[in-house]
Amino acid sequence: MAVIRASDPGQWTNVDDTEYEAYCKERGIDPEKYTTMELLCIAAARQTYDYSFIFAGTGLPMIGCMMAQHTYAPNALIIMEAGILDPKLIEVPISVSEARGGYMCSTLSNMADTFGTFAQRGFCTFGMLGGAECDKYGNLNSTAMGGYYSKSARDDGKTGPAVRFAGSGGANNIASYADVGLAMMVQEKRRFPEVNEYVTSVTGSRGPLGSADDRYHHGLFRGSGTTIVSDLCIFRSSPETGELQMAEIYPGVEEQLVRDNVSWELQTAKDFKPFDVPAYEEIKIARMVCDPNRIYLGRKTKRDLAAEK
Amino acid sequence: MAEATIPTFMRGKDKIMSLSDAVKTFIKPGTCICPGGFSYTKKPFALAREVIRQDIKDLFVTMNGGASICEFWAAAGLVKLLDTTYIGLEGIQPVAYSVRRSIQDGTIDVEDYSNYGFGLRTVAGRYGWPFAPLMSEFGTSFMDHDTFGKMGLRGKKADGSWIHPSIAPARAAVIEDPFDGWGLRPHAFDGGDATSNQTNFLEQVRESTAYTGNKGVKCILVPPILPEVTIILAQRTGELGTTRIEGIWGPDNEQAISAKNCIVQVEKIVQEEELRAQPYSNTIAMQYIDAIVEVPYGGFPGQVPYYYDYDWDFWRSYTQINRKDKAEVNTYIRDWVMEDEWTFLSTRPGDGYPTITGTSGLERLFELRADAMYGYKPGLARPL
Amino acid sequence: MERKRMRARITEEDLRLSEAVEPKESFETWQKVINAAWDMTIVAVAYNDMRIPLKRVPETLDTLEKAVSTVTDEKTLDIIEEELKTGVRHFSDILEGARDSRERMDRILRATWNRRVQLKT
Repeated sequence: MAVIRASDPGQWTNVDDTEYEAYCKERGIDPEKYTTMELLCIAAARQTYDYSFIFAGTGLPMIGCMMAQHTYAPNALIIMEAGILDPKLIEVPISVSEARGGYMCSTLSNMADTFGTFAQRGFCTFGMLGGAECDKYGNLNSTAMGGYYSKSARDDGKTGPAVRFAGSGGANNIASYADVGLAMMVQEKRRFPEVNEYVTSVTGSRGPLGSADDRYHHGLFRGSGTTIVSDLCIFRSSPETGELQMAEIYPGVEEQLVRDNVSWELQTAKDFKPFDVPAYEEIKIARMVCDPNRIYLGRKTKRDLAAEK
Repeated sequence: MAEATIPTFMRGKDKIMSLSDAVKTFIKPGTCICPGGFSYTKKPFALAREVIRQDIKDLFVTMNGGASICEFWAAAGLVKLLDTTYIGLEGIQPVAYSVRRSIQDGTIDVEDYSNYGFGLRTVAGRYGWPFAPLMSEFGTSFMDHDTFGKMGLRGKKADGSWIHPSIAPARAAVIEDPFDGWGLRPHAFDGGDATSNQTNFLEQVRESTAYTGNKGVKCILVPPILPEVTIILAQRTGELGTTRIEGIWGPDNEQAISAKNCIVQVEKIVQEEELRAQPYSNTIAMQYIDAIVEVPYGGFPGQVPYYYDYDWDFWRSYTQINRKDKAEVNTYIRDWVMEDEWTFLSTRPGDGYPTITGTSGLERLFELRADAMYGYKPGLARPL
Repeated sequence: MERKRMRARITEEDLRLSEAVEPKESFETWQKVINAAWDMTIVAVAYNDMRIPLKRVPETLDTLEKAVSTVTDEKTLDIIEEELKTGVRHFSDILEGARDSRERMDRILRATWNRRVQLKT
C-alpha cells in the first residue's frame, strides 16, 4: 500500500499574489503576519493527511477542514453531521447543515444516516472538534460547569449550572469513532483542568492508558489518542501513558506560558519540536480561499485583546 | 369500526390549514414538540412565530439540530422541559443565550444526549422500534447524568400509567453485545476491511467489565423519541401530504415520522402528481403529515436551500439583542413576531438591524434569493 | 403464430441454449447507440420531474403579466425584472440544450433513412 502523507504545495489551491496583496491592502492587514485564528486554522490543517476522512464539527473545525482540503489534504473527504459527504467548499459554512457546506457533495442525507453510514461504519479518520474544557487525558467538556443539573434536578439550592455550554451536538460521537481526535481550543488555565467535572467527548485515552479507566475499558473500540491544537501549542496524547504532552510549540511562545496555562504537571513529548512558522502560501490560502469575509479568522482571543491593550 | 371518524392523517385536502389554525389545533400548553430543520437551514420559523403569537406555554421541546427555534421560544419564556443534544447557534453564537440563561436560572430543565444518540432515538421512533443500539457515549458523563430521572419523571405511576407519557422509563440502558462485536468495523475480513478506519481495540474492549460487571463488548440502547407534534419546513408538499425536501434533510424525515402528528410548513403546495412523477425523490409519505401550511418565505430569517439564504445581518444583530435583560428580550421577541405572518414578512425583514443595502420587507426577502445552481446566494455579504 | 406458441407448454426444445452468435453489428456501433440512448434517458427522467411545473409556469407567468399593470412601487418592478432575468438565463439554457439535441435527432433520423436506402440497394 502506498504511504500517504500530506500533499506537496504544488497541489495546493492556487491564489494570485497580486490579488492577495490588494486584498490585504484593502483590509489593512499584513500579508505575511498571521493572527491567532489563522494560526489555529493552519495548525489544524497540518495535522491532517491526504486521502483521509475528516469528520468536522461546528465552529472552528469548519475552517480547519476547509483549509486542509485546499492544502495538505486535497483528496481528503469532509463529513458534516447534518448529512454531508465530501463537499467542495467554496464559501465557509457557518453551520454543519447549511447549503454552503453541501455544495457539490457526493451524497446528502440526514443526521442519523451520516453518523451511521460514515462514522459507525468505519469512515472517520480525523474527528475535528471544538471544546470549552479539556483535561489531562483529552476529555472535552462542552456541556456545563458548576454542576450539570438544572434546577429541578439538583439539591444544592442553586438554580442551575454556573455556566451552560452548547452540549455535545455530534462532538461525543465524532470523538468516539475517530482514529485520531483533533480538537481546536483556546488555551486558558481554567479551560485545561486536571480532571473535567463533566465529560462530553472522549477524544483521547480518557484515563491512564492500560488502566481500567482508559477509553477501551469503557467500551470504545476505536481511537488512538488525540491532538489538541491550542492557540499556544500542540498537545498530543502520549502513546505510553495517554497523558497530553506538549508536542509542538508555536514561534515566539515561551514554554513556561504553556505550562502556566494547564492545571497539571505538563510533560514534554519525546519527539517535541518547534512548530514551523506559518508560510506565506498558507496564510494566503486561509485568507483568500477559506474565509475572505473573515467570519472566523477575524475573531480575537482574550489573549489577543489583552496584547492589543 | 365502520363508524369511526376519519383520522387526521387521512383527511386528504382538508389537511391544508391556515397557520393559526394548524398551531391552535395541534399545539397546546405542555405539548411535547419537536422542531425540525438544522440551525439556520429549513427551520419552520413561521410556525415557531405563530406559537409565540398564541403564547403557548410550558412546552416540552425535544430536538436535534441546533437551537434557533428553541432560542426564540426560550426568549418568549415558553419552554419548560428540553430534551436535546445542542443548544448553540453554531458559527453565529456558540451558545444560544436565552436557552443558556434559562437553564442557568432554573426556568428550563434539560436532558442531554449526543447527536448520534438522539439520531438513533429518531430512527427508533421512525421504525416503531423499542430501542436502537449506540456504540458511543461510553466513558462520558452522559452515562451517569439523568435530569428527568432525578426529577422523577421516568417510569410508571401507581395506576400503571406513565409518569410522563413523552419521557421514556430510562434515559438509556447498557447490554452485552450478544454477537461479541462481530459486526463492528473494521471487521476481520480476509486481508483486512475496506474502511478508512485503522484503529480497532476490540480485544481490549472484550476484557472490559464496565457497566455490567461482566467481561465483553457492551452496547448502549436508547429509547425512541415519541413527540406529540413535529413541525418541519419543506419546499413542496402535495395537497394530500406527500412531502419533498430538497437539500439537507437534517433530522426531518425521522422526526416527522416519529411523531403522533406532523405539521409541515411549505414554500408551495402543489398537485400530488407533480411529486409522484418522481416518487423516489420524495422524503415523507403522505399519511405522516396531518397539517399543511403554505407560507412562502416562512423560513426567514433562516435558509431554505435553492429558494433563499439566511439573513446574516439579522442573526448578527440578534446575538446582541438576546444578551440584554431577560424581560427586555421577552418583550422584543413578542414585538418582533407581530400580529400575523404576512404583516411580519412585509415589515420585519431588514427592520431593526443594520444591512448594507438598507432594504426592508419583501424587497429584503428577494435580496436573499438563492442561486438555484448553488442552493445559496454566492457572495452573500457576511460581515462579522 | 407467436401468440399460439407462447400459449403452448414450454418444451425442452425451448429451454436449450444456442451456440455463440456472430454479431451482425460491431461492438463499437452498439456502444454508440447505447451511449446516446442512455444520455437521452437521463434527460427524460430529469424532465419527468419538471414536466408538471413546466406546464404550470406559463399560467403563473400569465397571471404575473396581468399583475404588472397594477404594480404601484418601482422597487417591485426591479424585483420582477430580476426574477425574470434569472428565469430567462435558466430557461434559455434549457431551450438551447433542447434545441441543439433536437436538431441532431432530426439529422440522425434523416441519416438512418438514407442508410436504410443504401442497405436495400
